[in-house]
Amino acid sequence: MSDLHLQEPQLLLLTALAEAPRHGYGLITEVAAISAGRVRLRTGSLYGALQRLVHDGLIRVEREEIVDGRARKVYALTELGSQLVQEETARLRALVGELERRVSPRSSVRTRSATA
Amino acid sequence: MTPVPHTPRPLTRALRLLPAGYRAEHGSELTSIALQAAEADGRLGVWREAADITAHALRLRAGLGPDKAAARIVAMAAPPAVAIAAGSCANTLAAYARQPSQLLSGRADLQVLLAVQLAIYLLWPAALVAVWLGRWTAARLCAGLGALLALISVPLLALVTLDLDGLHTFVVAGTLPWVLTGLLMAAAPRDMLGSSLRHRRALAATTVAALVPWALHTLCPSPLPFQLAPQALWLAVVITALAWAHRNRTAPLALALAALPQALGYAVVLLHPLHLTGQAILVLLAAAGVVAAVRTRRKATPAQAGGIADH
Repeated sequence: MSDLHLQEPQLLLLTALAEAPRHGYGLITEVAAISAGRVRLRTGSLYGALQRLVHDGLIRVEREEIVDGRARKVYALTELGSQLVQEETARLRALVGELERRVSPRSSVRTRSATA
Repeated sequence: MTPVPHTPRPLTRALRLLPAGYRAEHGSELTSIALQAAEADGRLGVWREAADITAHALRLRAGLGPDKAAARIVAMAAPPAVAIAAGSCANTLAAYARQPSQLLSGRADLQVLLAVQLAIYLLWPAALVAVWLGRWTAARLCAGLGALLALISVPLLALVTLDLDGLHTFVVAGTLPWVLTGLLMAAAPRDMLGSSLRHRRALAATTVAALVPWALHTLCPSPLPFQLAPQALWLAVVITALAWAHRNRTAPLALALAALPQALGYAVVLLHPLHLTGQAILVLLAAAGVVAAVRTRRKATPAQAGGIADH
């Protein structure tokens, strides 16, 4: 598992799927919402990323449906993908905890008294 | 039955670029996503989606598909390649800064050429800044413009220096590195371009390695053969990295690919006229390439087969 190093768009896609299975355009809007509009995936980039995640066994096509005469796939996390999201969550939580500990007022006071 | 919505022409044309089999399997879904995504942005959205699908199609046709290790290697190589390109601009920018008058003197056509070249030399550091900030669209735009201006400078260069001996070499050496680096940035899949700590460390090391030789050269101006020393360094990096390449070790291949544009620019200079150094470098490059090809094509042993190594 630790061999898989996720880049931000990949992690955002997995995060979007952690809540519920979604189709392609649903993922574009969800990723934009999660990243507060900072990451806006376009169709080609999204599709390439989804296929790579499917290839790596992190997501799967849950079902295919026809909407407005066009086929669309609904993607969902696999067990491996779910496990990776949990690992990333734990890693980021530990990192944020450490950051909060270091920038908290009590910590600043301690640092100042140590340098005085 | 619900009627199929009309597909705008730019999207249809972009979808036609997809390989036939891939289009038959995924075309309908891609069209559906693109139409919904474009709806929110209007006419501009259609063009943006079409451009992104075109890039996706070209990546697939270039063998950079989702299941290919080549895509990972290109994504690893693109940011350091921009750092190396930006580093090689530093020397010329420093020269312009020392003598800004050279931009204003001479014939009008020469001034246009110098202005285009100045724009190229400013665009690559700008691309590097965008890479550092994780603004990949801006980085691609700067890199693409840098490559385009390099191509535009070819006829200008030919007009200005029509009677120069070895003009072809000069033109190729002056455009090839920028065009190749621009292509590398365009080819890298967006979802694999990262700003993780590992990527930042690699980028920092490459940026320093790209800037230090040029900074030394700027501080201690030297004769022509030594001016090319920093580029020779990248040629040595390519040869060494290729020799270290291995099927399950993609980092050396990515490093070789990142340094290749600048190294080729240097190698071209040595090929006209072809002298002993040029011949030796060609032999070394060919040998390193063969070693890399053999080692990366060799079948993985069971112990090596698991996991995604070096990524």
